[in-house]
Amino acid sequence: MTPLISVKGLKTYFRTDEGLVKACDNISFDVNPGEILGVVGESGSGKTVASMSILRLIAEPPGYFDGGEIIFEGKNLLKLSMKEMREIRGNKISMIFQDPMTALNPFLKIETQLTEVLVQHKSMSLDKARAKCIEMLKKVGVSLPERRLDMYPHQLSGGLRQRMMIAMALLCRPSLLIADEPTTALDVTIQAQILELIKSINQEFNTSVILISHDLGVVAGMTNRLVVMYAGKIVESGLTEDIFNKPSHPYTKALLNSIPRIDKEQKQLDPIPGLPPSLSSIPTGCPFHPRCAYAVEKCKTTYPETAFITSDHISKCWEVSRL
Amino acid sequence: MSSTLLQIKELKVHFPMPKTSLFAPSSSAVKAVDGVTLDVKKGETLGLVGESGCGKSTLGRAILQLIRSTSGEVVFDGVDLTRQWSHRFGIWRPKDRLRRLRQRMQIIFQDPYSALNPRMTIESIVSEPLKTFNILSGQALRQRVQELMEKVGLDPSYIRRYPHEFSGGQRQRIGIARAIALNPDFIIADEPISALDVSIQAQILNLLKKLQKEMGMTLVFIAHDLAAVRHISDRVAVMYLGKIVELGDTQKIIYDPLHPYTKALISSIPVPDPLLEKSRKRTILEGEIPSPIDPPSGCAFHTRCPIMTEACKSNVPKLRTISDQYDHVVSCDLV
Repeated sequence: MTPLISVKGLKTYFRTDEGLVKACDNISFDVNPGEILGVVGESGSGKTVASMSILRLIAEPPGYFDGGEIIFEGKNLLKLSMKEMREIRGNKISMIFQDPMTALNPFLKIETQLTEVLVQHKSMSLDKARAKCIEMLKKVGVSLPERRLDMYPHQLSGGLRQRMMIAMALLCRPSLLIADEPTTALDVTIQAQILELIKSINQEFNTSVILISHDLGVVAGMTNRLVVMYAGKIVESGLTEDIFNKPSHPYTKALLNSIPRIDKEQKQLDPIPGLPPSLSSIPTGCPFHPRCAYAVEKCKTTYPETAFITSDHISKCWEVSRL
Repeated sequence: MSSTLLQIKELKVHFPMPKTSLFAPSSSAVKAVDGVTLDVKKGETLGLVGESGCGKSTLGRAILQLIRSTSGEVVFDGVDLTRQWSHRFGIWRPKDRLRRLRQRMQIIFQDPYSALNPRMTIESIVSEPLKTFNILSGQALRQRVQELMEKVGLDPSYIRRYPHEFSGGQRQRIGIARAIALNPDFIIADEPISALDVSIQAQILNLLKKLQKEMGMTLVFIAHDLAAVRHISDRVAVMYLGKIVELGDTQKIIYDPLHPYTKALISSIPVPDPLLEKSRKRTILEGEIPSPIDPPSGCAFHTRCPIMTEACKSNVPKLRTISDQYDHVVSCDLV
């Protein structure tokens, strides 16, 4: 299967006062047509920068691409002009953001913000665009869509705003939807609604999804494949089931043991000692070694080579055999 | 079982809304806490869960009387805290007795970034309660602060640093050190882990559990994350729109929830297990939490309830005891 989008050796760096920040350091992953890929990691692991890089939403400067390529429909997105990128954003690749309040313009009616997408990309008339928006709002489960279009973002609840964002992202039937922590700002019962919606969109429209989350529970139920990020690097990737059944990086394993679960009795949580590193001072060798229970001398100096657990399940750890 | 430390009876906290016009009829109010009755036993950890806007934080603050309640009682060790206020020159002030009792009741806040004064050193933050109540001074005070820092897992040599030099998890430890400085009997932890990174949350949960055991404290743990609450609590109370809808032994609530809201809440929490997730049956609630200004008639949950009947629209359900053994009470007429 040819992947829909292929990220190869992406290096997104930032020049800051504290020095060079390697937010994405040699990141490679594919998204296949119709699949949901999960990207998990803690804050500062580089997962958002990776998705922003795909849409070229990185401010340059201070950010720049030190290498790598992102191949989408035969073109390298990193080489496109801003004009060409505008054709892709919101049209072929759309994004939904974590905080639906700051992602919508508080000064504009929902109608203006939604129809703009269609007027821009599809050169539709306003009337036609409005009809199309109402149809899409119905699809994403917004009741009374005609009335909602006349409202401003502050008049809507968090869950409804996120539905508006999703509707906006889907208007042009993109082949790839990037959802960056789409439910983190929402309550659990509303989270369940939105996740269900993303799943049904994926099935109905065959839209591929990159689902970024810090919540291992969310990605477990939603994704086909998973990428685990730590300190700007991918430390483990593979089929979601494989990773949960046989976590093959000490970080993934430790993370799974540290979260409280609703379905199981746990006598004791095993927290990961220490803190996630600051991206401007990433430890040498394997970045996880200061917090790792399996670390050996070699881990402090040399970045691990790729270890293949199966042909599709890889881990960046020297000590995979001991896990 | 052990004795009761805290009794809450029919507690209400209503925040009046400004009148929309001069001629508008009597002004409405946000009914943040609307008739909560609850006992907290000595030495236990009680989890308080609910979604945003359900009134769990307001309830926490009203228990400590950090905000004055509208009606009802909060009896702490035999004293009704709601009566310990004096009204002079149009301002409500806490009486001395309430101030003194506050030595025994402390709070840990959700956001470790805004809960610490950025201009104060760790030493002045942690020593403040000890100074306020004139318990220690001079060298003994510093020693006590260092001891407290060690207790919560901070390096005592950081004593002169400022909050911005610490990470979120470390700041939360500073907040905890401040809360336990006076050896309180009772602590309210208001969403103490929700602002922290996943790998740090377990550190703070374990710390709270350890301290609670060592110091024999009574803990009320407020959170929206039922999985974390389950891990730390002996009993769990579930809130919806200012009321408690179900309360009982943690095991009972998790494995045998009775209220339709509790059931939906538990089934909405994702589990980090792909196979289990695929086979799980999920109750997805429709709609969102109604406004606490104008809560629905009858059972407040009826607008989203999957098993709602006509009677639910008019009858207000009362908390009923289901099992004495597990302290299990539920407010649903259909159970």
